[in-house]
Amino acid sequence: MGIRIESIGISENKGKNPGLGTRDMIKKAGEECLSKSRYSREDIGVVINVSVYKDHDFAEPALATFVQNDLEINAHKENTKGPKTLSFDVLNGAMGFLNACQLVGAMVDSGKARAGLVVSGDMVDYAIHERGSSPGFYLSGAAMLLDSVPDGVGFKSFYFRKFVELQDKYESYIFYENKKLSMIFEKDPNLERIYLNSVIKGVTEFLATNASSIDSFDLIIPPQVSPGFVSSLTELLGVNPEKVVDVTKEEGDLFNASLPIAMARVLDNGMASPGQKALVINVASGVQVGIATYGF
Amino acid sequence: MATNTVIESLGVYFPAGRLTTKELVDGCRVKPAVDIEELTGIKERACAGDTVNEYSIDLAIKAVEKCLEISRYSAEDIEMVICANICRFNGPHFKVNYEPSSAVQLARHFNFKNAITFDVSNACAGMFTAVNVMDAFIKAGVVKRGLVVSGEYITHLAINAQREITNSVDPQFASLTVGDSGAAVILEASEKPGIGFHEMELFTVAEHCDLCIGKPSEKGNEGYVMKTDSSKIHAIAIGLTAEHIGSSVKGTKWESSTDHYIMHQTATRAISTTMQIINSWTGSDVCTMENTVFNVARRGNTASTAHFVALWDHIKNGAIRSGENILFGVQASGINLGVAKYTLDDLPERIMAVEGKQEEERPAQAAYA
Repeated sequence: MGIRIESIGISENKGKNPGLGTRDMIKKAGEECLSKSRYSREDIGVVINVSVYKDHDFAEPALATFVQNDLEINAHKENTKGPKTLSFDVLNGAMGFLNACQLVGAMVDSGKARAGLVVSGDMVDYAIHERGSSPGFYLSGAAMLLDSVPDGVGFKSFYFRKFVELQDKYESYIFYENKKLSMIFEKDPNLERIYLNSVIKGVTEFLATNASSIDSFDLIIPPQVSPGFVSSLTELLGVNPEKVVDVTKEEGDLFNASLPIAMARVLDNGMASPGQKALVINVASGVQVGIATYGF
Repeated sequence: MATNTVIESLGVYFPAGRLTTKELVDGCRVKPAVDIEELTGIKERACAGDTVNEYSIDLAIKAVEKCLEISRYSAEDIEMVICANICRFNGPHFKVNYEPSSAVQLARHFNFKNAITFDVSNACAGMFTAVNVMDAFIKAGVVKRGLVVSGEYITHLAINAQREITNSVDPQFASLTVGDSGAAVILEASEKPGIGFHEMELFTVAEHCDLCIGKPSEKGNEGYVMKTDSSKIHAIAIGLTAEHIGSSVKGTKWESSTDHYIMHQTATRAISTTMQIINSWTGSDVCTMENTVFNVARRGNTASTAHFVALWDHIKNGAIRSGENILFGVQASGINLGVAKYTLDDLPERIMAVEGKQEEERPAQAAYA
């Protein structure tokens, strides 16, 4: 079975917009995603938020529970009968969306859900004092509805590789200093180069494990870290730039929204034909590299 | 043949600090309108933090160490690690890690080199949500076994409640019930029929997502606060839990063969009220003082670890034994609810073989009865 992207919704902001909060961005994206889907709200058995950074910085409950309520997905229960939805957050830096795609596939294949909605809307709370090398996120909400289908369509062959010896190259945290909450981004100045090297190692291992070659893929969907990152990765992989989906923004890292925004570009613009195959590549703090194939 | 997911190993850790409910209440600027200790049955709880130099990640590490000690597996055999604590308070000055995830940090510490790693956050339902997720990955054939862990350092909520409570029915009074702990379980597909998780259903009644919020203090205090509409959340959660558990056991073998009910461990009165409503729903005394676990007296509400802390304590005091049937009732803000039916293999014997039979105080279950 493959884990299929059934619909996508994106709510891109034009530049930083402090007036639009995490929930607003996700709600807009979620409503667009649901309006495009063949599934009804009742069919969605799991809602997963993967945003690591959010406004108001609350720790409890999961942001996904607010999303479930905002989108009115089986949110009202007078009793325990009828369709139900489990909502929770998956937190893993920029790897969250790829982790959640695999997770929804497992939930569907194990009979726990019929379809799942994954959302993100990363933003640093503007009320918190930022210090260090800010990630400079491109603010956007993203929502992806996934199900499980046969016949080679969808995500397959997930591969996650950690380079834990590089864990200290990027760390983000908040702490109190003189009763003032500060957010710190400790980023190695060569982080993009470190990520690139890790991705190349990960991709090489993945291709060897799967007895495949980079040329066998019709599209490459890389992490949308920055325009320079994608062009460097294209060069290092030695692939035709026309195969590489580049939706990077000068304003900042697309972070968790990389995968849904890139996939939306592919699907909306007819960049892939039935039977074609993409190599999806992701990178995140840790350092973690995530790879999967996607059949169209 | 489809098999159930089984708890292959369990490890629990308590930090060395201790804080009594009397100390907490005495330190409140405004005293509660009710006797918190009498209402909750909580006499004391373990505490992490600056005084013992232990934080969320340390509690998780210690729990994993114990879990691996009891397990037949080593770190390289673990194919997935999910860390499920509510907050990542990992250092002094309330340092909260955002990246990398706690699971990745644990992977480096223990060399979980073959594991897919990520964190799950779902309030007090975090560990059971992660168990449900791991069960899905095992049943789908993605992994053979995985580790679910949580390190809950949450007693700082109580300290801020002492400072910020302004009236006798303040929404921060529930913060006085919390306790710290770490818990870890290794899950895998059972090789034997009849044991493990038979059913597991969790769901979220999201229209009530705003009844309990944990967030940074807005009154100039360092750390987080938790604001709870206790009466409303209990009314909704207990009512739906009673129906969920009642409908899950009524007319099944579990109506008579459930050896232990382990609800979310918030307070003795909340648990006993849940028992009564379950019994009303089923029309029979399925829940009794003998088969319902009360584990709050020395632990408090340890959030996402509460069910596994209760299981650990009652295995160690001999109340829960190999081969017995347990029904777990999950309740958490969100509102998240769930039921999981579980039959133990020889886990209690394997835990006791490592831990040794310790002379524990009588469990809160018996004391309350």
